[in-house]
Amino acid sequence: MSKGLVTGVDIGAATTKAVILDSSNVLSFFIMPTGHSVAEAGEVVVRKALENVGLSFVDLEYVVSTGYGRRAISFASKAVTEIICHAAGVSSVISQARSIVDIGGQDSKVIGLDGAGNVINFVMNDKCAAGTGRFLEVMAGVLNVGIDEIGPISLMSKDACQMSSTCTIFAESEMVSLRAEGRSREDLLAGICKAMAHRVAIMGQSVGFKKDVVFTGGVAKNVGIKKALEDEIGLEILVPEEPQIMGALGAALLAKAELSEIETKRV
Amino acid sequence: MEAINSLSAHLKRRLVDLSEAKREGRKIVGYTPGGYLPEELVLAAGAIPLCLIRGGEHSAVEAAGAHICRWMDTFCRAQIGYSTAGDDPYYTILDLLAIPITDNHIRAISDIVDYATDIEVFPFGVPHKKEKAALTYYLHGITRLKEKLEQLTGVEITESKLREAVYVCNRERELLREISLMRKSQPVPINSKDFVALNHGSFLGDKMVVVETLESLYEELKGQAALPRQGPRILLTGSTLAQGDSKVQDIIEEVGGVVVIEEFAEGIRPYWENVKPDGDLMAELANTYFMSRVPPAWFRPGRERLDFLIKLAKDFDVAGVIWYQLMYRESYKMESYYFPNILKEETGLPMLTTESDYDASEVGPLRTRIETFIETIRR
Amino acid sequence: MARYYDELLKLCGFEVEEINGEGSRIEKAFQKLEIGPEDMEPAESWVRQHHDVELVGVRKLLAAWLKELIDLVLAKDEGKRVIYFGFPAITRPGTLIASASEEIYCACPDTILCHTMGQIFNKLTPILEAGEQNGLPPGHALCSLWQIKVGALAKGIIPAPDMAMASSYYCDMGSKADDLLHEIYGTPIVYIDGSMDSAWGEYPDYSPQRVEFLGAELNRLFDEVKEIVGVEITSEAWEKAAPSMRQYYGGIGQLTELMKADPVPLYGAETSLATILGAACTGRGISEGSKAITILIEEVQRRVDEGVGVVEKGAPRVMVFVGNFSDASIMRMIENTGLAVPQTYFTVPPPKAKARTSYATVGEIMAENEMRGGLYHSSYGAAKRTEMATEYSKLDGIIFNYPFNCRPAAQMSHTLKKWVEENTGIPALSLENDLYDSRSYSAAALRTRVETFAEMLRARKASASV
Repeated sequence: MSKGLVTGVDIGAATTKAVILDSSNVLSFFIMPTGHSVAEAGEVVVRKALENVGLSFVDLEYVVSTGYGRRAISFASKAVTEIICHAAGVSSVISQARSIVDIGGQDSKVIGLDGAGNVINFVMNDKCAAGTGRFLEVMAGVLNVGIDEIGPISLMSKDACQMSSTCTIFAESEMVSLRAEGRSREDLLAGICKAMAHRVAIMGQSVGFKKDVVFTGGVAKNVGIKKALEDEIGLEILVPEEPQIMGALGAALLAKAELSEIETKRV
Repeated sequence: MEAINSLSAHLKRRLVDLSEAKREGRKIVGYTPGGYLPEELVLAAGAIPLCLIRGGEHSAVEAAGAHICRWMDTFCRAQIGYSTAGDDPYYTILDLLAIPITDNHIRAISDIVDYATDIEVFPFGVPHKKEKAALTYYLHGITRLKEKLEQLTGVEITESKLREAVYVCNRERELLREISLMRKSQPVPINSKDFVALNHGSFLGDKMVVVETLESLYEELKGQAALPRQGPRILLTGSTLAQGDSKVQDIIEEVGGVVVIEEFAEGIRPYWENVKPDGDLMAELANTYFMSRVPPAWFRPGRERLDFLIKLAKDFDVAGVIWYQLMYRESYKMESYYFPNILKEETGLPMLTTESDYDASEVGPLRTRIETFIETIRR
Repeated sequence: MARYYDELLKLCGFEVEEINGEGSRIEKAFQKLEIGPEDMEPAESWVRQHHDVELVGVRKLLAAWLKELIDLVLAKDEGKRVIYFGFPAITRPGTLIASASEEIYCACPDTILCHTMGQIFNKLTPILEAGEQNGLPPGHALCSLWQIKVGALAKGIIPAPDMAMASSYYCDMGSKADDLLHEIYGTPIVYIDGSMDSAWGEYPDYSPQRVEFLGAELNRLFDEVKEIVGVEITSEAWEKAAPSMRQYYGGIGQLTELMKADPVPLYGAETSLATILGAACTGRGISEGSKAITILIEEVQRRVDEGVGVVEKGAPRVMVFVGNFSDASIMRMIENTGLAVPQTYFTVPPPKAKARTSYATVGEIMAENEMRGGLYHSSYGAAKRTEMATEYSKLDGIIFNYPFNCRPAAQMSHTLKKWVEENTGIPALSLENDLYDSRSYSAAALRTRVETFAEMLRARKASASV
């Protein structure tokens, strides 16, 4: 009797995630840096997630891959885009979600959903680093703070820096100048959060933001960006408990749906 | 300068004045710049012309991103941003937006404002060649505009009203021309920023106030001592010089250059020719507004404008040309490739090409390049 | 004796006798194009991957393009008076001019280079780079089709023309590039002008003055051709040109009808090969192309009768606005996501409404045709024609692949999508790309967006059938 064990694996440019589901629950998940081999990362992340609950590859009945590296996963039964998977994942945990803002390591997206969790509109940026996690990495480097510190410190600011550069490379120089002028760390970091949120809000204009707005991706853990985004779009933003695995979760849910369709046909 | 200060004060109050005029039943007719909308027709119908010449703000350009991709002219995207915001006072006050359709960028404004806002849009075509069939078509367009204005205002545009308006607009052009020509002298009596502000003022302010300002300024300038500037003389040319976009002029002044003459498709009023105030006035309007003026870069062929630039460079005894255009206005970009050679051959003068997307971070690199250019021609 | 190009040309529909007959011309042309033996295998592989060479009609279409390429490259050397026009062209003038004299070679050279140097040889990059270095630099969203024209001229691949027709009616960049041609090569340019000032919502109406103006411009064109090139366009030329154009467009119409079938029996790249011939060629491209289309219609009919498709039955049907000129892998990628492409903008059938007025001159007849076509009428016209297409082909979605560097198209990047969705109820994808240069907008780069759209359409179909 099949346990209905499935996995969704999301191979992003920066990190790779896997979620293991059985017929009723999320059993485990794992997140790791993608590194230089997409195929290897895909395999390792699934194995680690399975090991956490004492299972192995042979137990899997269906695999859906997603993300930038989805087509390099030889053991995947199906590859589905990250936009579709994020919609599936988010709507399963927040049924009132109508807009998703996903900011990953090297791309960002705004997705519009209908009441049934279907994608009705989307826009993505995969060409420009501003508005992606990469922007934060570069800035954190300039200011010598850890990525995780950016959010909390920025919230302490009373007077965020106004950044004029639209390009990450030029923003880096601008940040160095502002720092030399003696601006405080919290003001600089608040300025960074504001600039990033602004870029994402502009990108999302053609799709629009409707409540509930849900924030996903690694950057969603940054409370400073969340606040800056809320200020930009004028709406409250919800962050799921594990924002980084929403794509993998969606992929796993789609795997579950595919498996159940196969079994229905079998019967 | 006294006159400029008072014009400035008038412009600050302009929106308030326009709202009051609206309450009194006057119609406000907005239009896109380029010099192809005969304001005489609007004035003769008792309406108020308002040229939408504001620019320079990146936020407006960004706001256009909800309606159009980024690969269109910056100024036109700014207009799309302003008009679709729904609360921009220069757009909400309009009873009609008349758009002379010149190139695809202006056409974008027309399509998007018509589709995405409640503003009533009236497009009419401006052909791109100076020929009989084209002139006929342009005349047809302004004739349709005349009918539309009569419909909008309920006022008949009689020949005498139209003639009156021609006199006023001619005077405005004459004064601008006379003031501009004063800059042939060394040194110039009025700086470029102020002169351009007069042009912008003429697009936004009350026509009578503008003419009065120009009259008194002209007297003032005739009598005054020249400004003590001795820097290299510059011809500034390009696509659009909007109100709110003075960074290039500021930089040139800061590094010691003197812009003595400007040539822009949008932002400078075509003041070189007057309208003949007798005979078939509509035909005369068409002739002056379409035929006997320097065409913008999207006219085919583009050589007439380039020849005019060479004439200006010689007449105003400039030391160099600075080309300033906005991003993605391809008619200008492509000319900027082969014009420097023509300029060099015919005048020996150097040219600096610059461009902008209304992005504040451009100022640093612009300064470096303009400063270097001014230094090299100073020697 | 085997020649290095035998296999490739046979793959691309040449008969052995044709290769024998034209051998020296082919070699001369290839030499000018810098094509050598080392390019054969990659080209054969490229063609097999992206074109349905199982169909003789498809191979003959490739042959038609190649024959036109050879004629283009050698035109000046062979003593022809060379006349170029631009894309999107008001093509009938070109056909008319070419029919007036055997001495004239008239074509849109850049489009020919895209379909051959791009789609067959995958060797367009050096030509693009030459264009970038000679007046159309990167970073300014300048049209890559004009980069190809300017680059090919700079490299001496195509002859400097005796005259160029700037169909500047629609496109400002084209006229400017022709200005550039005039500056560099002294080419006389005839600008065909018009004004796209119809209001939003006006189509299918248009003012008679618009027709008269464009018509006058086209009539004047024929006078200028006589003055510059010394050839008179008479009614004989019209009578000569008309039947071949009728046959060609009739064939396109039949092919489009066949594409209504489910499963869709032909790949989008192949219909594009057929339709764009009419936008670029007046010589062998059309005459050989018409014959190829006749063969293709038979083969496609057989597929329809047998229920054979290139995508599965029930696949969502989309209109892709324009098939990529230089890179057929993009259309194939769209089909690989499970979408059927029965339609492009160029195969939307002509409007049913008859012409409002009857015009007497050739120019005005052509001008009126342009108004009814929608694209040259206005952006709203393009939107309405798209709406017509959704009914005609029973479309489930629209992929509006606007070229980022084409101002008339890019200006409706968002508007067209929104209007179509509002007025037809079907989803539209606004997909930014470059129609002639896929270096920055490759199949891989566009895939995620197209795949997501395909999933959206499938989900809609699934819930509709519930």
